[in-house]
Amino acid sequence: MRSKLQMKLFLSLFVLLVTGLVMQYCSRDIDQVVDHETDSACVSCHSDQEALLALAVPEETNGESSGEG
Amino acid sequence: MPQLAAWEKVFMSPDQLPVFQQSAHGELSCDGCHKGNTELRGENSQENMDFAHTGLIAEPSSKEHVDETCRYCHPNISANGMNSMHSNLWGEKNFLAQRAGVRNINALPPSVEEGYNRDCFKCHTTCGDCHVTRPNAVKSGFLNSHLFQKPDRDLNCIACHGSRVGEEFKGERDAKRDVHYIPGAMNCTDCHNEVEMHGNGTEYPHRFAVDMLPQCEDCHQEADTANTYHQTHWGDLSCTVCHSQEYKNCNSCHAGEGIAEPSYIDFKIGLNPLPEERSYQFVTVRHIPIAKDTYKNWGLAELANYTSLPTWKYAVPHNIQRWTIRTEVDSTAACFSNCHIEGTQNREFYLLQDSLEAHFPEDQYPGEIEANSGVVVDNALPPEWLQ
Repeated sequence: MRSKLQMKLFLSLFVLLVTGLVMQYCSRDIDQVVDHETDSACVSCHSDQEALLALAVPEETNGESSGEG
Repeated sequence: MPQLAAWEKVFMSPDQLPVFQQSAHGELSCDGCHKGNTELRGENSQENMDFAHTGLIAEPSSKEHVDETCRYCHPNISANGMNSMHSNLWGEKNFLAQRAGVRNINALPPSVEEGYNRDCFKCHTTCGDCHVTRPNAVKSGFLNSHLFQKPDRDLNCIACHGSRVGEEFKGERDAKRDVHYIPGAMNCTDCHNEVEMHGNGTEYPHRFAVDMLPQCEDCHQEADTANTYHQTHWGDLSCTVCHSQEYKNCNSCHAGEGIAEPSYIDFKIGLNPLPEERSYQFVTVRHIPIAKDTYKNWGLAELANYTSLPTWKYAVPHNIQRWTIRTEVDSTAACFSNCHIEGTQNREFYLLQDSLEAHFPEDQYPGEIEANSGVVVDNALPPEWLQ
């Protein structure tokens, strides 16, 4: 009897957990307010001139582009 | 415009970074717009970069992705912008189709679309091309550490509109600068505002058909009665006929190759080729770099309906001055002495049949004379002028 109750409780918690995770994933959207911690990898590199210089893909020599006008 | 080095294009300076992060767009996560991965999973910097950039969307405001990014918060502007002149180059497509003798560019062989996308469409813009980076046409790069901002005159507008409008506006060719070029005080967007730039969702056939274009009268509201010249010619002459200076013209561009002849500075008054859009009788016209075989590299050996459009095109030179060679008249001379034709005097200002034939011989520029038959002014001038 006790184990049946425990099983029900466990199942309920499991369903709640899965529902919560699915809802969180589905509500993942562009306007999520950022936790800048998650952006630290991007920002740490893109604000580090030395790192960018070391990693940047070389491009063709700087040229002139006058545009169409 | 010199391009930025690869690292500079994506560099967020440490002093500007907090400014960006505190801005509205800085509250969005990087991967919210750019996708990719924000964790460090590699053994070294190169591996970290490779992992971070896996699935990266470099240009989130491109047509393919804008619905998931800009449009989410800016639905109207974004939708209109995607249908605007700047995003689609409707005018160029329509004129190409008309000269090729078809109703729509899609009716042309697939090789034309491929060529168009390869050689021309790099000049279209996205939201980011004006508000975050330099445009793709000049190989992109942050304007200011990924800050979102209004378009910069030099880094955005002139980056694309540089060889004619930009040079004219800043007086970098033979003429004086435009009187409206006041660094630090006036920007392009003071006249060409966001309503015009973003559009209203309408697919206009060409840029002069856009009904939100600025007019000189928007600021110069009582100009029509300001002096005798204006009272006499108001409505008949476009403002630039008197107030612009000589400007750049080009001939014979070939898609995929570029201009075949050097550009040249000239000034021509022609009959208004766009009477439905503008009511003036006389306007300044600029020779555009079209030729009968301009698109030969795209599989169009010749444009079947080349003569259906003039090659001297309605122009609004951006080198306005109050006093030009036509308006600055000696006090002892007649007021029209610098503009009206008398004998050989002032003929050079007008697009006349004989000068057209002399400068564009049929064997060298086939179709040129016929194409511009509606723009030459001979039959519209007082007969005594050409006697």
